[in-house]
Amino acid sequence: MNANLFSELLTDISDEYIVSAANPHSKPIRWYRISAAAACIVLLIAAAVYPKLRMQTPEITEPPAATVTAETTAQTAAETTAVTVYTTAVSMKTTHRTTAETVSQTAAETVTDAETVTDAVTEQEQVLTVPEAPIQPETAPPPVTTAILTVTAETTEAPIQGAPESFHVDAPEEPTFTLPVITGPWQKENSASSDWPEPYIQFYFVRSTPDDHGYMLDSRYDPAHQQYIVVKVRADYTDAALCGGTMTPSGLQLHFVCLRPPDSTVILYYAIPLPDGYEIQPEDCRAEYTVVNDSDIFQEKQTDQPMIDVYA
Amino acid sequence: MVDQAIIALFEERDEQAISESEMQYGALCRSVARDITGSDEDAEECLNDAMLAAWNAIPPAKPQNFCAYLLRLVRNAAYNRYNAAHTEKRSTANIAGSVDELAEIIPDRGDVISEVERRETVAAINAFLKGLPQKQRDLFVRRYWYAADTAALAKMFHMTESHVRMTLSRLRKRLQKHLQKEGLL
Repeated sequence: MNANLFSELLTDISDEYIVSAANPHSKPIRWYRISAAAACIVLLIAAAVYPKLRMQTPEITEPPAATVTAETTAQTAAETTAVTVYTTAVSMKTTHRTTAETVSQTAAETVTDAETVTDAVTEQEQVLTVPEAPIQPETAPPPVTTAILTVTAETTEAPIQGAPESFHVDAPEEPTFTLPVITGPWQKENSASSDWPEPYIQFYFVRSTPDDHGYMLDSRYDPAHQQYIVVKVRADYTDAALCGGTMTPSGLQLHFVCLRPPDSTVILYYAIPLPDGYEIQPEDCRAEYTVVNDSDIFQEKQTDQPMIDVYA
Repeated sequence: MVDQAIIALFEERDEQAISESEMQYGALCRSVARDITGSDEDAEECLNDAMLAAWNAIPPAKPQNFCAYLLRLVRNAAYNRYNAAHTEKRSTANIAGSVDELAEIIPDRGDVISEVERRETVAAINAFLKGLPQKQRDLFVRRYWYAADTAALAKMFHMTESHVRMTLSRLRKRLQKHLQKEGLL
């Protein structure tokens, strides 16, 4: 057999194949249809994924565990409506120590009854100034900026005193100057239990270290040039914020505002600069907070730039 | 007119059968003959030869598929004319290219085979074609039965010429393996 003979033999193939090949029904590929279908699929995926991506909050790294050297928590049993405040002390290096030193600290906070409702309306005007660095508490530097902060306590809310043993400032009526607080990242977790009978808040007072910059994420925060106390607040509330505070050479008192309901956990970071001569240790820090139900009142109380009044 | 009606005209010895056949399948038959012989005149003569052969064969022959029957007559006539005219010289007709392609897989062992071997070969080719997807089968038949050139095949099957050539090359290799497996090569 050869190719010519084979070609002749092809003549006798089945009629079906001959007729089928006489009228081939090959349809051209509609590339524009494929492109349109692919574009539709991409749009559908984007429409489904994009809203979820927008709702995602960036993860914030917790401070390194190695910086925490001691932690003591004291809590008193309370009624079902009791409020518990934890104060955690962590020792870090200071300007007068060459090595990190562990400080065991017991800070106990009492519990107050939330049913005690203080109905009072107070209005206070404070002149807030931002001093230039370095801060000298003895001689107040000329203010750079001036702002007026009005804080109003609503009568509809029941203020809960988280630190009744807070220190009292025996100082002149006007603070020597005010310190701007550097606000760190805001983090919210949805894992908090809704079974908490009453507000639950936890404070960590930390002397600053260069490692803190990782979670402060603020260019103004520079522990290499100034002493700070870093405050980490973990509050089982919808939201929380630092309203302000007072500082003396022997102590620091902060005031927070929290928004009910306690259906999630808010984690806040603040860096409070320490003026020269203010050797405040973590155990010298106190905090109190007010819980509000109305988000409008909460927005009114919180401020983008909390200030600390410094007394000599 | 449907095939059965045309066949009925042949059986009644009505000469209208010729004109009806030419009206129905004349263009296709001319195309096949032209691709094989490479000449319009030869194609016309091949068509006339095929019509005369059908007139003489029907009756008693009663083809199941009149289109295929007529195309086969045309192809035989065209192939005989091609062989007679180009025994000594190469041809530029499409059939020459398709035969050359088949020569790549069919070793030359003479042009005489037994009737049994001929039937076995045709059965093997049919089995091979049966196993192909319709598009590949049509492409193969169009190339090696109808002797269509690759440019026409590319247009007909909405493919590029290189794609047509590549597909035909793969089909030839598959056919070679199939015939070897059947012990025909």
